[in-house]
Amino acid sequence: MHASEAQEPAESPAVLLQEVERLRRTTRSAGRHWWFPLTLFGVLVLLAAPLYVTVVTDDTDVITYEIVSPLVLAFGGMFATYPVATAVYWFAALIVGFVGSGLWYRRQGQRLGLRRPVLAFVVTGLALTLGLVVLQQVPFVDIPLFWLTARGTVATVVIALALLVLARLERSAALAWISVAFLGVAVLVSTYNVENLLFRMGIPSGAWAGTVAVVLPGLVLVVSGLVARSRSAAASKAPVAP
Amino acid sequence: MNHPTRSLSEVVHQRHRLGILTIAREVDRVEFQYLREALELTAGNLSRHLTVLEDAGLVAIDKGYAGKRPRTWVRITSDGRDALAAELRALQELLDGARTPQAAPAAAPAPGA
Repeated sequence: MHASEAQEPAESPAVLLQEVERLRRTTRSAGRHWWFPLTLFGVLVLLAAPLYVTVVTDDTDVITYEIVSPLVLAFGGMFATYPVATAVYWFAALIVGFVGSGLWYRRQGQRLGLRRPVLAFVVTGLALTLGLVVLQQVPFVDIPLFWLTARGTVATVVIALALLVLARLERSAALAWISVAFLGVAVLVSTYNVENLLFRMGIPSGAWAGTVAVVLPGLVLVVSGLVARSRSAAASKAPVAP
Repeated sequence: MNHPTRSLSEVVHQRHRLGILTIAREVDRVEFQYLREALELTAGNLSRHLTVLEDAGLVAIDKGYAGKRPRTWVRITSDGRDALAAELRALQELLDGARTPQAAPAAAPAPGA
């Protein structure tokens, strides 16, 4: 039965505030889909692993002469085995990831009747992707950027920064913590040769060792995304206290 | 000093309109059907509440289609955000004011103690 306005009893502030809190919690959990961008980007990062398998070759000039365009400088890195392929992959993967996430949110918004303000997340991600390429042509800016781009994994930093924006838009503390942790991993693999960690742990290094730089951040995203998805599914099945 | 009840808005201080603004505040846009189900209102009742809020400039209403289905989307305005925040502040002040006089008897020793 639906109560009309005239029949409604005057309700106490405590009851009204409880109702506001209940609606707020229900709406936040109903429209929250950030597990999807986490999982999508995690899969895209993991798929880059074959590009990081080390190939021993005497023809080192091949690598030197391939690094010519701003795109390759931004996403290919100086130490990548296949700088051009790595740069093209990351550029395409970032666009697919951000546009795909935006379309996912839009579709879910239509289905549920709740549209979340995620446009800033998509725009931030695409702007950082394009901005990084453009900045490679700006004198004096490209030099400090080299610190992040040299290892060909700066795309993970772009993803982490955009996820921080998404955490703000979703008002999710959990996503903010995941994004900060992922940013830490992304900066680590972009500025430090993580193969050294394997060496220190006594794990024998091989041609595959370079893949740790993307497998590690990729797993962080995929595992976080899948855990978030299962928690989101459990929350949507749980009865909401009136 | 103003009594908190003077801060209550006639437009917002109504359970369902407070609910509409609360839900709309959490998202970019919310669809009519979602509001109906979340607030357990009839279409007519919800329309009336939305008209009151729209006339006061607290929400904006966009009508469109999803395929062939008509869809009505509700978006909170910046005035709506301010009005909701003011209402919640006033309710909290009222609640705090109501709790204060009850604290004294609770602190008194229980009989026989």
